[in-house]
This record gives sequence, C-alpha cells and structure tokens, in this order.
Amino acid sequence: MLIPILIVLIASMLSVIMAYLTVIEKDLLLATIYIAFIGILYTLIYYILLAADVVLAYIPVSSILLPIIVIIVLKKSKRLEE
Amino acid sequence: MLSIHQILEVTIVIYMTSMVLFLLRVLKGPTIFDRVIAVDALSCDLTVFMALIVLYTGRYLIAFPMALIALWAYALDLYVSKYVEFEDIGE
Repeated sequence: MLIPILIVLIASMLSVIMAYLTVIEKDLLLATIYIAFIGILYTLIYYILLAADVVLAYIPVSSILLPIIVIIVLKKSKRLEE
Repeated sequence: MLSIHQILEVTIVIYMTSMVLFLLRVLKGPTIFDRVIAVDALSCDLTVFMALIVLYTGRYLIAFPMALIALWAYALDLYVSKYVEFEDIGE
C-alpha cells in the first residue's frame, strides 16, 4: 500500500508549490488558473483517501463556482495587480 | 507472469510523472492558453487515474465521480476563453 501514500505526498507537495505561486502572482487570471490546478490536486487527494462523496461535492465547486466567481470579480476590477 | 497489481503500479507511476509534466507546462507556458489547456488535460488525465485507483483498491462503488469530472473538465476553458475574447462572461 505504498503507492496511494506516495500519490498523496506528491499531490500535496505540488499543491503547496501552486499555492505559493498563486500568492505571488501579479496577473490575476493566471492566479485563477493556478487555483483550478490546486482544486484538481485536492480532488485527487480526496479520492485517494476514499472520500468519494466529498469529491462529488468538490468537483463543481473547484471547477465551476470558484473560477466563475473570481472571473466575474476580475471583470469588474483590473486584471493586473500593481 | 505479471499480476494486475504490478501493471497498475507501473501505470500509476507513469501518470504521476505526467502530472509533474503538466505542472511544468502550467508554470512555463508562453501564452495563457497553454496553461489553460494543461489544466484541462490534467482534468482528463485525472479521469483515467481514478479508474486506475478503482482497479487498484477494488472498491468499485467509488467510480462514480469519474463521470462528473468528464462532464465538467472543460468549464474553465469556456470561462477563460470568453473572458479573453469578450472581456466578460455573460452573467
């Protein structure tokens, strides 16, 4: 049972890297894409930990609701951060 | 004689390598569309990855979220392309 633990470890490390890049990014549309990437990695971690019901609730939130809300806010403000 | 668990372990390692390659494309991509397509390809990759995990663990009842990811993996492409093209997403 080493393989699932290894998958969770790699996905967690990649999500930490993407979270740091999301914080320091100046272009907010790229930050939205990074957030979607983090959501995919979290989906994988939930699935490896056998929480399929949490995955069912998290896929629409991470791939639809969060990007569309952030892009709506982005349209009403500026794309580049000073 | 190879068992199915050994084959699945090798395939899962290959898929994890492809996950790291998608991350590199998201970081390096020259345009914003390369990054979006990399995230979309990771979503489609995750669908097959879930099927491999189901075969590996033997719990066939958790295979249903594959359908949801296959349905909604393209949504980010639509939003970002509409924002880049028209500067709004038509809410």
